Amino acid sequence: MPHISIKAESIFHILGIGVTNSYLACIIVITATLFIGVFYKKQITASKKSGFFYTLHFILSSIYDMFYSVVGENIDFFFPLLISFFLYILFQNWFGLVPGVGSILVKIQENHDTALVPLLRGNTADLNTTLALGIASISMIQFYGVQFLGFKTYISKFINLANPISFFVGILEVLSEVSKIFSFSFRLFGNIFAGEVLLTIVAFLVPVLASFPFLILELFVGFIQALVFTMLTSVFLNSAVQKHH
Amino acid sequence: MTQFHFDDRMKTIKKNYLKIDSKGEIDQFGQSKHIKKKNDKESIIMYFNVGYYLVIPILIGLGIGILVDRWAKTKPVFTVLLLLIGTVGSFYNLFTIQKK
Repeated sequence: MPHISIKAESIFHILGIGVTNSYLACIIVITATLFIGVFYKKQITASKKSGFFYTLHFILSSIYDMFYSVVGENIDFFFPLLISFFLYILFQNWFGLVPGVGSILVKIQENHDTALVPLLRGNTADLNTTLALGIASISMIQFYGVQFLGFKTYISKFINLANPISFFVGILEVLSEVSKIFSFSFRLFGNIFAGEVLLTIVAFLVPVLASFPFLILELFVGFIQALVFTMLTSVFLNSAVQKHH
Repeated sequence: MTQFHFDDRMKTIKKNYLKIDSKGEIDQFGQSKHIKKKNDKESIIMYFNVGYYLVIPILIGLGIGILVDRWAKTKPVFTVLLLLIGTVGSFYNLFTIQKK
């Protein structure tokens, strides 16, 4: 049975900075997504379109409609951010389920010991990534809040010296924003990491075909988690850019 | 013109009224279906987050409290104080979820 590590392991070092297995997976997925994006952009103006384009277009337009029901009129402004979050998290979640990710092991030297570690690891099963996604999401919410309401109006939500109660509510509001970062990152990390551990354990308990239902379940969980992250971002974004009375 | 005023007033009241349509079925009106659907979707999505969203302010308060106490060597003071603030923050989050 392989050793299950909560943190991502370094495969090699560049200029003293460790390159982890989740980082390698991240580069592969981003490159693949970039090619799909370029393909979509080229096909949109082409006279004869392929079937893959229509499938992609159908998925993207149904997601657009779904976000329209939450964000409303500002959809064209927010959609690039939201769809980037959705596609990034979705592809990373599903890449962790591809055969070979997590099961191809490489030998590395660590403090005069040799250890076997997975060559690739699903990027969202690494707490660093999910924390970064949470921080990016909440930072963009603050940025759009300032952009839509103006700096003074938006910041009065956090620092309000009108009376002691408003001042204390401002502190609670800051605490609420910080807790959003952690709740986003821990939920995503917990779900995806738990899924990968489950698949590993089941594959070692029962050899043939037993992990197949769990694989389907994990495909579903990966989709739902990507959707939940993006929908929550859009809900909080919507409440941040609206005027409070 | 009178019809316009009537519709306008109904929009601002936004309460559920019942009406009997031409087929004899009872139907709600006075609140548009679109708005109701949107609120449902938002609240369902919030349920996915509610557990973490309520627990984490307490943990943040406790963590910062322990760190400050270790740094200032005033052992129980800041832990208890910030834990209380974290708990109040947790209730505040609950309140904001409920308000949405």
